[in-house]
Amino acid sequence: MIGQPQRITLDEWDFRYAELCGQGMVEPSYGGPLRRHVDDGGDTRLLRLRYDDSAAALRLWNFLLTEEDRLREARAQEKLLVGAMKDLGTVPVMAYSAPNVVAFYPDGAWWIPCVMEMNAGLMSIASSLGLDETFCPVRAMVGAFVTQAHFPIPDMLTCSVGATCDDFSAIAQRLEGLGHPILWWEIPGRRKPDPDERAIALPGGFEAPACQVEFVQSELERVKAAISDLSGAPLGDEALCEGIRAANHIRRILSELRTLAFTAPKCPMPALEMLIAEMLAIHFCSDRDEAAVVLGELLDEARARVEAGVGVLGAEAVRVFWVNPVADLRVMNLLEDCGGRICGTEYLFAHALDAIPEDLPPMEALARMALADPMAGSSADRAERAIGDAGRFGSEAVLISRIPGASHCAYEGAVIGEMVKSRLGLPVVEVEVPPIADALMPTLRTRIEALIETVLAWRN
Amino acid sequence: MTRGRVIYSCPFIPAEWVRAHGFAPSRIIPRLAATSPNAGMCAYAQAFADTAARDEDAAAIIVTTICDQMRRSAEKIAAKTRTPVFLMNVPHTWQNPGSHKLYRDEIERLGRFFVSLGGEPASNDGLVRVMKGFDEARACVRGSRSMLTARHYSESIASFNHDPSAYVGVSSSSGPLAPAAGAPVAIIGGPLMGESFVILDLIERTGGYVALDGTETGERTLPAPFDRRRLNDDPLGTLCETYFGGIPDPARRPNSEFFKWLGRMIEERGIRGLIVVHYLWCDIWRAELRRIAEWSKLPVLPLDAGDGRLDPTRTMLRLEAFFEVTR
Repeated sequence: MIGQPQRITLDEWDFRYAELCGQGMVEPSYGGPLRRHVDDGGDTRLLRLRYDDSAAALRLWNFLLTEEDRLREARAQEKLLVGAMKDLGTVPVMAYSAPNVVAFYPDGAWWIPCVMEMNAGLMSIASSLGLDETFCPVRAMVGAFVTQAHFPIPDMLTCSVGATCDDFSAIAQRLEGLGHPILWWEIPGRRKPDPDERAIALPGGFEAPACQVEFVQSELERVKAAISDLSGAPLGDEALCEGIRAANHIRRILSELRTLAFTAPKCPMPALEMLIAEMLAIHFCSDRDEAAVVLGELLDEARARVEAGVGVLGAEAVRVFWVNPVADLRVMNLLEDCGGRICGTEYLFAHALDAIPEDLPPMEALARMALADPMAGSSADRAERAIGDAGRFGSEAVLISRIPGASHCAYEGAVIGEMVKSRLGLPVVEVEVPPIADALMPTLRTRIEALIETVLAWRN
Repeated sequence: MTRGRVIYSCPFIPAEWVRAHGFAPSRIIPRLAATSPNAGMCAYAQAFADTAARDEDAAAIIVTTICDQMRRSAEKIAAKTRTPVFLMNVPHTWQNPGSHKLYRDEIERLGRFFVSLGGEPASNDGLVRVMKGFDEARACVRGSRSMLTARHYSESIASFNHDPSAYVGVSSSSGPLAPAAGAPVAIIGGPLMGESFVILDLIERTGGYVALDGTETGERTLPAPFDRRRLNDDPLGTLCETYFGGIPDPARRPNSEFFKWLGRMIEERGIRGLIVVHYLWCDIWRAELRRIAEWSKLPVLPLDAGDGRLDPTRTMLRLEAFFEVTR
């Protein structure tokens, strides 16, 4: 018998944790009460969030918030660390195919200023190095490299460039200037094939000319050679195919979870936990096998709730499609507090949620996936994908959250907004979310409430 | 006679390739946009987009991917004009042969685009002829440095880029200027807009001497003279190598070649200070400001062009203070 799920505070989680322990909850080695991340880790933002009250969500949060420990343990075990920068879902698949290699996502440091409510000083360090607030909050990553307090310095750093945002490219170059060598690999701007060019279908529905796929494949071959050199063992097709199958296993779990969470009459999993779940698919939070287990438990919980007809929000919640990840996690709570629920997302890495083709040579399959990156194409392409997903999930409104300073956000919001309005006739609101949005909460709340009320008025 | 003007801004578009297809290459200097750019939008990218979209005489507009804001501007321009817009991939990486091949493939794709607009396919002979003509004209422009004030020199580079054909066969006849006085400095940074060339006068008026215009509109992006031994045998290869392989730019990854070039120029020209002009939302230049200062060990004056409007009074005051330090 499943109870009524709730969104609870950290204080409430203290009681809930004791309750779950009393019920015989079995936790993994990284388990424990959420509060310890505040007391021991300084993750004070957790005090301001609301969480799903399931054991599965507890495991998700503990898995996320212990990544630093896992990386240090991997280093202690003499595993090789690959920092895959700006690459959303490609190099980690390759790295985990090699023996004794752990990949992680240094860009993930962009959430440290939020989670630690600026107490880590990463933004100040970035500013002192010339990366001020006109840059995307991912500049926190440079601070994390300087302090070495959040992850060990990786044995190899890769960074994709070309059709990427200038913020990240410039920040990564600054990092290299500070003495961290980077293997740069190129993703060209994805374009439509000319009539005389062979068109290749990409995961997610886009097409690219064959020459672009071949080029990206050649770039990934350089990365593969570097990983092979690092691990001391050639990275063969068989291992890569196995790596792709493992990544697809995770993507399939996530796909089912998303479909359930976005389409069930009552939302079975809150927006915040769903955002974290999606992030796991990019880089597996430094443990691919455990990421599959964590997501599997979350899916089981969502399934049970849907079957029982219960959810964390009422059936009347307005179905919102969300574009871009937020720098302040609290804003995902805010949407639900305002009467909305997430029904579709495009957090900049839609391609990392699609299955990687398993019927192709593995490097070609990975090249196709990398080229399907929504950021590598036009804003109109990105809007097309959002429109397709918003229609599929029955979204009633679209919220575009700008990332402060990000070079793409000044352009694409207007394009996506206009296309959504003209094609789907849905209301659209754009907001900007800094790492700590407390001072903006009244404004954000007003804008989100206006969006929700517009939908409610249309419903009536 | 040409088949019309092809306008662009990126220095990695070879003017010779445009001309060899029968079009008039025109690397424009946009005027400041009438309205302030949206938050986060680079003033230069907005000015270029507005200027290009309004240019009803252009046969085509070329935009490249060397900067994300310009890449995204291509979509903005295409939505506002019926003039064909071509978005060319200019690789950011350069250390492996694949990047050079991608650049050449893109140049060839650009050539097919010109043909689709009614241009003539570029013959080897025709390309060699244009390359030699532009190369000589460019040498003439370069040679005029000692005969012109800093502003006139930079404007003559911009003017050459705006219409290179007009310079072919023209030689300079004036003599050298009196030896420059003041502290030799380099001005480096992104592209200048029409209104910003005044900065060169202000530098010289406040006690400096512009020994190097390393902005995107200045000397830095003038391609090196072509390798005449290779030119006849492989003109397109020579063209690609000279542009893609030779123009130093901080957007390249890694951007070590830019620093090598700057170091060479500092030594050759005895530069004692660096003035870096950048736009508010230009990540590429802004991220390098601190590194340039640390690396060069020279006094560095960042000049924030903000939304494209350099305040002359404030700029003068900052320059005066800078030259007090530099002297």
